[in-house]
Order: sequence, then C-alpha cells, then structure tokens
Amino acid sequence: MASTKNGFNRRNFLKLGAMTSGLAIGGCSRAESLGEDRAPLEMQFRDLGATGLKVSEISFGSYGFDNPALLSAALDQGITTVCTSANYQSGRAETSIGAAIANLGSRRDELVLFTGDVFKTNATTSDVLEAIDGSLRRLQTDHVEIYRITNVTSLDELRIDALFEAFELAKMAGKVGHLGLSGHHGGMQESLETAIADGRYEVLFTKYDFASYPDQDPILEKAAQRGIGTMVFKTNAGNRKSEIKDLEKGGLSFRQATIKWALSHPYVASVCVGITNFDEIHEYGQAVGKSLEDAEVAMLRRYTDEMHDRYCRFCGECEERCPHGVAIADVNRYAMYFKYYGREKDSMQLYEALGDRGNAENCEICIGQCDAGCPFRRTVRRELVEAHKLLSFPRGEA
Amino acid sequence: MMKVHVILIAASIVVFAGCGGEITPVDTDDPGQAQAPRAPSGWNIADGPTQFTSESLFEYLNGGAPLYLDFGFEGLTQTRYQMGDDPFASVTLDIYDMGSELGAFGVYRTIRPVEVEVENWGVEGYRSGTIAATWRGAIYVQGEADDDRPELVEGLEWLVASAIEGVEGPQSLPSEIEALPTGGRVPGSERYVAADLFGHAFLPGGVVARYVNDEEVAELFYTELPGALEAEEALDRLRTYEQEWGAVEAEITNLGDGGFRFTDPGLGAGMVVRKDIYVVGAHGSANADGYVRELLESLARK
Repeated sequence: MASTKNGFNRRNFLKLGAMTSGLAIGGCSRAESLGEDRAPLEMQFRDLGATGLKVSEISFGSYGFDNPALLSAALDQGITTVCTSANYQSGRAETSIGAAIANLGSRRDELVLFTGDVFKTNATTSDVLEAIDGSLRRLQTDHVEIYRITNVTSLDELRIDALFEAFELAKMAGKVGHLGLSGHHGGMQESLETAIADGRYEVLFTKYDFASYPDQDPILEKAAQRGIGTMVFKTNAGNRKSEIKDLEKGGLSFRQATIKWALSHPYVASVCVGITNFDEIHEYGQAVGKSLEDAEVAMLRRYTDEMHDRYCRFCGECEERCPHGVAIADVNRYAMYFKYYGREKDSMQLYEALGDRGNAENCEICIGQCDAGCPFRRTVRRELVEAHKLLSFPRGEA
Repeated sequence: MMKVHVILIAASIVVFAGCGGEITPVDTDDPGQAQAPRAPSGWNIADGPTQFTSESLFEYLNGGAPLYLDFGFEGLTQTRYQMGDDPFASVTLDIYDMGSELGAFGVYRTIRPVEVEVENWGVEGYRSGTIAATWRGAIYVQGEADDDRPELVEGLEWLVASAIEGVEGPQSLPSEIEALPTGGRVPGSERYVAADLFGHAFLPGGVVARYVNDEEVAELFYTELPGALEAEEALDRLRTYEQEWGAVEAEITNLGDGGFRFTDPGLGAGMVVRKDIYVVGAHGSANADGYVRELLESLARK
C-alpha cells in the first residue's frame, strides 16, 4: 500500500470513516445517517473508451478546497480521476488541486487529470495553447491526461479549427493526452452526436440521470462502439430530493442510488461528484461495486414520478414541433417573472418584444403538438395559454 | 466615502462615453436592488435578462451551483450585452443576490483570481483579463467579456460598475471579518468559507486570514457553532481526526478551553482552542498564540 509522506494510506482513511461514524454533532452527519457499516471499500476502475486510460468509477469533482489532505484522502480511497476546469472559480479550483498535487510526489502518476476551458468559436490556436499552459501551471504538473472544451452550447463550438490545431501541438509536446468535450445545456444530445461523428473527440463528459433524456442511451452506446469514453455528472436529476418527504427513509442515500444507477450502464466509465469534505468521499465510495437494491429502485421511481413534470430541462423539443414558431421557453420564463418575481410590467414588455415568436394567442385553439413533443410529459400548451393571458396587454394599450 | 464612490462611477461613465458614445443611464427605480443596466449606446441586449433560482442554478452552473448555494444564493439575473451586430463582441453580466453581505463577500473572495487589477467599485472590485467583479450589500456582480479588445473591456468595466452603483450597503467588510486582529494581517487574505472548513463536515464554515510575523506565515481561523456543546464536540472530533491522521503534539492550558497543538497532514503545524460557541485556531506556524489570543478577545466582545 502506497503512503504519502504524511502517512496517509487507505487503511487510515477507512479507520477515519469508522471513527467519524461514532461521533455526531447535534444529530447525524450525512455519512453517519446512512446506517452503513464501514467495511473496507475497494474502488473499481473502468476503461475510458479506447484511450487506454483506466478511470475510477467515482471521479473527484472540484470547485476548489482549502485542505490538500482532501485530495490525498480521495486518492487513498482509490478515487484517482480528478475533474476540474480553468473556468471554475477563475482558475482557483485548479490552483487548489495543484497545491494538493505538489504534496503527492510520485503519486501524481496515479491520477487521471481532466481539465479544460471554455472557448468561443473565434478562439485562436494561441488562445488555446495559452489556456493549456495556464492550466498546467496552476495544476503544478507538466501534463494532463484529458483536456476538453468546456460548457459547449452550440455545434459551432465543436468545430473550432484552432482547438484541434492547438490540441495536436500540445499533444506532440506531451502536455495533453486525449481530447474531450463537456456540456450540460438542453440540446446536448445533438452536440454529442456531432462530436461522435466528428471522430476527433475521445471523451464525452455529459449530464446523465435516471429521470431525463431517454434518447441519450443510444447515443452513448454509439460512442462506446466507436471507442469514445463517457464520463457523466449531474446524475441526481435536478437535485430536488429535499422536496420529497421521507425520500431517504430507512437509511437510503439518494446520492448513492443515483451513482449506482449511472454505473449500471456499461458505457459509463465514471461518475463525477463534487467533493468538499472527508465524509463525502466515503459516502460516494459506498456506491461503487454494488447493484441497486429494490428499495433504491423504488426511491428513484418515486422521485421520477413526483418530479418528472415539475421542471423544464430546456431541451427544446416542444419548440421544434410548434407550427407557429412560438418561443416557448422564453414565454414560460416571462410568465415565471410575472408570477413569482413581481415583475408584471417588465415581463409583459418582454413578451411583447418577442413579436411573432411570442404569439401564443393561438395556443388555446391549437391541437398542442408541443405536449406530444415534451419527453417529460409537461402540459406545455396549457402553460402557454395561461402565460398568454398573463402577459398580453389589452388590445390598444401596448 | 459614498461621495467618492459616486464620483468614481461618474468618471468611469464619462471615460466609457468618450469611447463608445452616449450612455443611457442605469435604471435605478429601486436603489436597494441591483438591476441589469440598460445597454449603452451602440450596444444591445442580446439575451436576457434571465432569472435563475436555487432550483435552476444547476442548469447554469452545474457543479459550481452548490458553492453559491452554500453562500446563501437567492437569485441570479443574467444579461448578455452585444456591441453592435458582432456576435463575438459581447459581455455577459451576472448579478447575484447572495442573501447577505457575508455571502456576497464570501463568493467574491472565493472566486477572485490571485492576480487582479483593483477597481474602485462597490466595497471591493477587480478586473482580471476579461473578467470583472464587485460586491456591496448582498449583491455580487460578475461580468465576462468575449475577449480582451479594449472596447469590450471598457464595456465590461462600465457594466459592472453600473450594476453595483445603485446597490445600498456599508463600504466596509462584514462584521465577521472585522473581528479578526488587524496587526500583521495580510490585506486581501481574509476569506469566508461557507461550509466544510478544511474539508471537515463537522466545522460548519468559518473565517480565515493570513498573518505574517518575522517572515513566518500563519493562517488564522475561527468558526461559530450553534452552541457551546456543539463547539466542544467539534473540537473533540478535530482532536480525534488529528490523532488518527496527524499528531496531537501538546495540550493548551493557557488559552481558551480544551485546546491542543497539532501537526495536520494537509495543513502542517497548528493550534486550536474553544471558547463558548467558537472554535479558534491557526495553522502554518507553531507560534500563533498571540493572534489566537487577540481573536478570542475580539470574539468575546461580539
């Protein structure tokens, strides 16, 4: 068992888990409330497509932390894959990871580092190379295993020549290993399809959950068939578990169940979770190597049933089906401003400014193809009718 | 101070007007609230204003959302301003309602890059390349330009300054920060951590700042627990942690209650004590007793 110079090792970490479970402040912490035993855990690893990399089933997602021991503890637990990005906290997330890496010594080689940055379509080769060098400097390393374009929001961003040119130059210099992309906007499926067809992307980093995006599975399967590895995040489907009473009754962990669900798909190599304290390392680690139990399946089904139609995923499916070209998302958003933000006049003016794209007047007599288009069974047409009534100026007063 | 502030904002508007033409004044119907400024002449609003709530923030920030929620996030208004008809010449302006001064300060200091150009906006402000930010009251404002063209950066600075201009609030750091000793404190090093101080779920966030004394650097910290019993239990858990992972070097009997000196695997040498509802300590130096004593006295006066 490898140890750090500070004496960290996996055994110590597990002892900590057992120790902390016996102590509580004013009740139970998250880890303590699980009622779990603290038997030793063994991280599982999966191939990341055809990259040759083996990634831990749990990835360390970080927006920064102030104790380098946190990353060491995760590594002791077998969490070797670390996801961050230059745009997280203006580079400070990378800086804190770099401080931890500096303490790891030769254990750096155990890590699979995954970082990237946001690039506009007018980015130059020089811009991308500077961004890569900046990340390496902050991470205190001379290379990262995976580099990605972050927060992709349009197909054009997947075809930036400068990105590919710079990546090849950096790869020849030994600074980066594999090219990836990430994004979490509504139309991500199309972006994934485009990236797969492009053939130059080796890693997909995308949102994935048990309640949304039923059309995503075949896309990820296709990626796997072509040797493209997939890592996922945002597996908790809107993160609204607190709105459902007793969801975790009986010592269940919603977070663990969502991780197990994602890992039940063979084309998912790793689930990225945000880790901010030592307890979470153990809690998430508990999900590895285990199948979903019946009670957990029931919990996820209940969540799906109760939350399925409560939030818009901004997928745009409804707008594509509207015969009148109504900007449905905008109209609904302005209705939200009207109802919940006290911005009646403002929202009505915004609605008016949409022009023809905001003409939901005909929705009342429309057959509502938008309803059929919503993969989440939201009653889109009814919402538009209500929105139009709220947002319309009486004739002659606009 | 307020007069100086107004003059500075006015100056920035004049400078920007000189480059970009006539400036439309900011909508300040409600002086207590931050509002998205109207687009200056030659610019237009390309997207928004779009509101994000605590539920929808994940759609925008994904993994970054919990950080803002921990700091007390209550709402975000996002607007994208475009210069002329060039889709690659825009500034995205995010106006966050963080619910409290401490929350706005906390996010500002957590996200602020190491190297910045300090600006006279809000209580504090900076620009770093294509990013600019400021805060006052419960409002945190951050803007980002598409690139570093001078006219875009000028637009960025003007929009950020204008967004914070109408926000009311004291021109000083939150009282939780003012409790820290001033002698030896490194300016700008003060931070508020909203949760999991030093990675410990049992330390519910706290205040930290760096101090320099005889070329030794120490980081002073304190955290406030709901009650004395909780503070005692938190200190016990920290002791157990250090016993397992680092080392408890010695007991502290002349400061606070139940204190000890430790060597932490991530933080190095340090000390920690408890007083009432506070857990107070320092790390990075074994000789921070004076700072800890001063902080304990300051907290006792709160």
